[in-house]
Amino acid sequence: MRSAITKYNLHRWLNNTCKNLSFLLMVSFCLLTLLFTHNVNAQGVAAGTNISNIALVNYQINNTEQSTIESSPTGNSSAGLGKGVSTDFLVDRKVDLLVTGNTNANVTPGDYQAEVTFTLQNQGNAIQEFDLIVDNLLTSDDFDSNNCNIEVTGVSGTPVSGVVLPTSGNIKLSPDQLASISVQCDIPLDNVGSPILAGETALIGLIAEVVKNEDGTDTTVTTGSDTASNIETVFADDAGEDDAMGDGMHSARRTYISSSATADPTLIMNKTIESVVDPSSGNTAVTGSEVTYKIQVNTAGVGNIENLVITDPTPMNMTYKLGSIRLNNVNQTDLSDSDNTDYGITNADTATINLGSFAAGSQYEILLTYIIN
Amino acid sequence: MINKKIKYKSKTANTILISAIATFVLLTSQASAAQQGHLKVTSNVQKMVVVNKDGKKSYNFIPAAKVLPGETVQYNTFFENISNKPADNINIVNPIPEHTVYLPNTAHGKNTQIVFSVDGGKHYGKAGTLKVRGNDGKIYPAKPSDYTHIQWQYLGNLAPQTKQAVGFRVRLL
Repeated sequence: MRSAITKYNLHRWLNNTCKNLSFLLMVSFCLLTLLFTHNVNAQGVAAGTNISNIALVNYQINNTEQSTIESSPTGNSSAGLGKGVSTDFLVDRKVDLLVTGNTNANVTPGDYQAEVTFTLQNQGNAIQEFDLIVDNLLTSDDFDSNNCNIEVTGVSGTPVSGVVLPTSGNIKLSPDQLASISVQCDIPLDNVGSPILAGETALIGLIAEVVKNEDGTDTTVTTGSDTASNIETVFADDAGEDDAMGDGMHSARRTYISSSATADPTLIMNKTIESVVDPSSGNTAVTGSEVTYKIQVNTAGVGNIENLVITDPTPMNMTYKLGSIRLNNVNQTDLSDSDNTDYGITNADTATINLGSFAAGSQYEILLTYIIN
Repeated sequence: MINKKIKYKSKTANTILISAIATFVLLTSQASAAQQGHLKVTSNVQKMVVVNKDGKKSYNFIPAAKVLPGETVQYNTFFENISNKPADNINIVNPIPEHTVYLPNTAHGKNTQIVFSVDGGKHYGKAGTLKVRGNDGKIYPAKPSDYTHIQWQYLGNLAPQTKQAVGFRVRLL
C-alpha cells in the first residue's frame, strides 16, 4: 500500500477543484458529492455506486486565455466551471458465490447427526440472501446418509442487520463475507439391507442459491435493455460440483467415511427333540416310537444370508417317516419340487431343506420325524 | 421565527438545507450567466468487451449500461471548435474516476502530448517519470494505478469547425 499522496483521493481533488469555486458552489458541490461515496470491497465496487467523470478543457483564442469548458454527455459549450454535466453510470449487481467443502467425517454405522462442514462466501458486490440445500442422495458413492440438517454457525465480520446466529434458515451475507456451515446427517446401520463396510463412503453435497436482494426483492437476472442509470443483475458464478456456471448457485461436496463395518450376519442353529410317541401312545423310546426333531435356524446382524441348505442325515437305527417334514408349520413334500425340500433325492438317506437366500434377521423352524428301528 | 427553528434542527437537516440552497444558487447562476464558449466538449463512456470473430479475439465498445467490478471502460472526450477562429493551447484534463484504476498505455489522442499526475492534478509529468512516496517514507516510481489525472496538451491549433478526440481506459475496482 502506498501513502495517501500516492493514491487518488476524491476528497483531495474536490478540495483543489472547489478552491476555484465560490463558497456556495463549493459547499453544494462538495456536500452533494460526498453523499455518494461508497466503499470498495475485495469483490469490487458496491452495486449502485455512481461512477462519475467530467473533463475540463482550457484553451486560447488569439493568445487570450478562455474560460474553462467542462464536458457533458451530450456536448457542452457553455464556458465556466459548473456548466458541464458529468458522464455517469451505476455499477451493476454482480451475483457471485463460492461454496467450499471444509471437513469430512469418519463415521460408524448408526451414528447420529454426524457433522461435515462447508463455507459460503458472497463474492458479489451487494448484500444477498442465500438459500442452503443439502443433497444426501448423490450417486457414485457407497451408501446414503439421511435426516440431514443445516446450520450456519458463524460469519466473518459483522452479521448483516437482522441476522441472528446460529441459524438454520436462509443467510444474508455482505460482499466478501464468509459463512461457516455445519451439515449434520444420520448414518444408517446398513445400506438398504446390505452391510456398510469399513472405508465405504457417503457423499454429501451443499448447494447455495442466491434468492433475494438486500431489500427483500427476488434476485433475478435482468433481461431486456440495459441502462446506465439502472442497476442490472448479472449472475457471474462459476460452476460448482453440482451446478452450472452463471446459475446463481454454487456447490461443493464432502464425504462421510465409514471407519468400521456394519455387524456381519450371524446364524445359529439348534436341533432338539420335539416329541417321542411310542406305539402305545406313550412317550418311551422303543422300537416303533416316532421321534420328532425340531431344527431352529436363527439369523441376526445386517446383510444377506445366501444359499443356506439344511441337511439332516437319518440317524442310525432310525427310519425317516415319509412326508413328515414341516417348514414353519407347513407340510413339505419328499419329492424334488417347488418346495425345495426333499428326502433322499438331493442327498441319500437325508432330508434336505434348501432355504435359499434371505435377509439376516429371519427365523425358520423345521420339524421332521424318524421312527426307531 | 423560521430561522430560529432551523438553527436548532439537526446537523443533517442543516446540511440538506445548505445543499438545497447551494444547488438552487448553482442552477440560478447557470441559467443567468451562460457564456458561450468556442469549443463544444462531449464525453462518453463505453464498456470494452471481448468478442471472438472468426476464431480471433477482438474488442468491441458498447455503451456502459451494464458494468461489473473488474470490467474495463473507456472514456472518450471530443472537443470541437464551433467558433470561426482557431483555438490554441488546448489543454484537456480528466481525473481518473473514483473506484477505477487507470490501465497503462491506454491514454490516447491524435496530435497530443500526454502527461499524468499522481497528486490530484497539482503537478504533471510523462509516464515513467513520476514518483510517489511509500508508507515507509521512501520514494518509488509511480505505477499507472497511482495516477489521479491525465492531461492532454493538444499540439498546434484546432481549426474552426473541426473536431478531435482523446480517451483512456480504466478498470472498475
